[in-house]
Amino acid sequence: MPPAANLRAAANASFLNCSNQFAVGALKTALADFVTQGIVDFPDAVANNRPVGNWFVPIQSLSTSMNASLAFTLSQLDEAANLVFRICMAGDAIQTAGLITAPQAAALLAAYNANIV
Amino acid sequence: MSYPQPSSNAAVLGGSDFFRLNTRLVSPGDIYESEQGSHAFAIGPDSDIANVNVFYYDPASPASMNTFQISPDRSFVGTVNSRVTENYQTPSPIPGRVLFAPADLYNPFYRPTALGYSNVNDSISFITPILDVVQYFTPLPSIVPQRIDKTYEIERVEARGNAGNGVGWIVVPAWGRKSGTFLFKNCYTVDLDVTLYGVKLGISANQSVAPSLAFISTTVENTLMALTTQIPGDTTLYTYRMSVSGQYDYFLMRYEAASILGTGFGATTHIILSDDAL
Repeated sequence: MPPAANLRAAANASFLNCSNQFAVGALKTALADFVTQGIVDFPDAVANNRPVGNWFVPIQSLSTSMNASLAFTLSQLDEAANLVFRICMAGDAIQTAGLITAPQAAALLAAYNANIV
Repeated sequence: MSYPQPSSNAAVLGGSDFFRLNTRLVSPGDIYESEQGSHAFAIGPDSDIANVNVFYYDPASPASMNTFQISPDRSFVGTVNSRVTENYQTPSPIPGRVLFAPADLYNPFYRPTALGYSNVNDSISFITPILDVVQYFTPLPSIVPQRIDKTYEIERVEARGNAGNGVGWIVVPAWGRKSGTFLFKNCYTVDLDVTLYGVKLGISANQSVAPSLAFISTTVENTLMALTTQIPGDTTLYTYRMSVSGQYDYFLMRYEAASILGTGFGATTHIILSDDAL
């Protein structure tokens, strides 16, 4: 899949991209790397970062709970796509609201394109 | 989500035995936090969202996070501590606050393109969903989180769309609703076509995407009340039953009037939705 042009497009493509990672057994790693790369731009000490930053908690938990083998379940795929959809939509909404900066939104999109696509 | 979000700390400092998060959703990515532990969680009476995920600190779970879901049929009674002195096991520290977010899918960017929606000519309006969650600070034996029956009075429908030759669409929250009535009245002096759909949202920008090897999460629109032409003054009643028609994220109404002279809004709709099954 081509990289997403913006966070809303990234959100809408989350199910497709997660299913591609799922098909090659890379979903667990993709989610973990997405969190590792994305979370650094949303330090918790800044309250305005939390509408995005809080989503890294269930994504990290889901990734940790996955078996390292190919034996991911369809419900884990559903959950992964849903969580990625929501964090991207959160980033889009709070950038529009002026809570986070354009570089922060771009960093979240870059983490998505580097790891989920 | 309103910014900053309401704080449960204020409820505790004020001596209240509960905190009620009652807010309109802005985005499907809205997530809320509480620095206060509690003895129970329940869906509040005004909520349009039926299912809410609660995430909380649990050192025995993956990344120190555990979760449960509450709904109008299922509250959660049990002590959940907010462990703000501990951190979830994320690469950068996030304190162990209680987090909650809608489990139901909401998408204000949904457009019924598969039903012929025109970005140019048509107009679409959403009833913005309310998220109502209650956190209780005193022990309770049990909770029955009954939601109120929601009533919507829709008087302003642009049945000619934006351009005067389009269609008007109204989107109403349907999560968890089991029954309801839709009363359509044509107050125009010309014929009015009305159609009612149930919509189950998927995560996909393009509903017409061709099937592929990858899984596609597709939005499904199901006709509940077929196109009905109302002559001037006509009234049409549709009764929704989950056991007959299924359960949906949205109710979608389509209004089209072939010709309306001048301005004015003559398509009136009264809706009552309930959690009680008929």
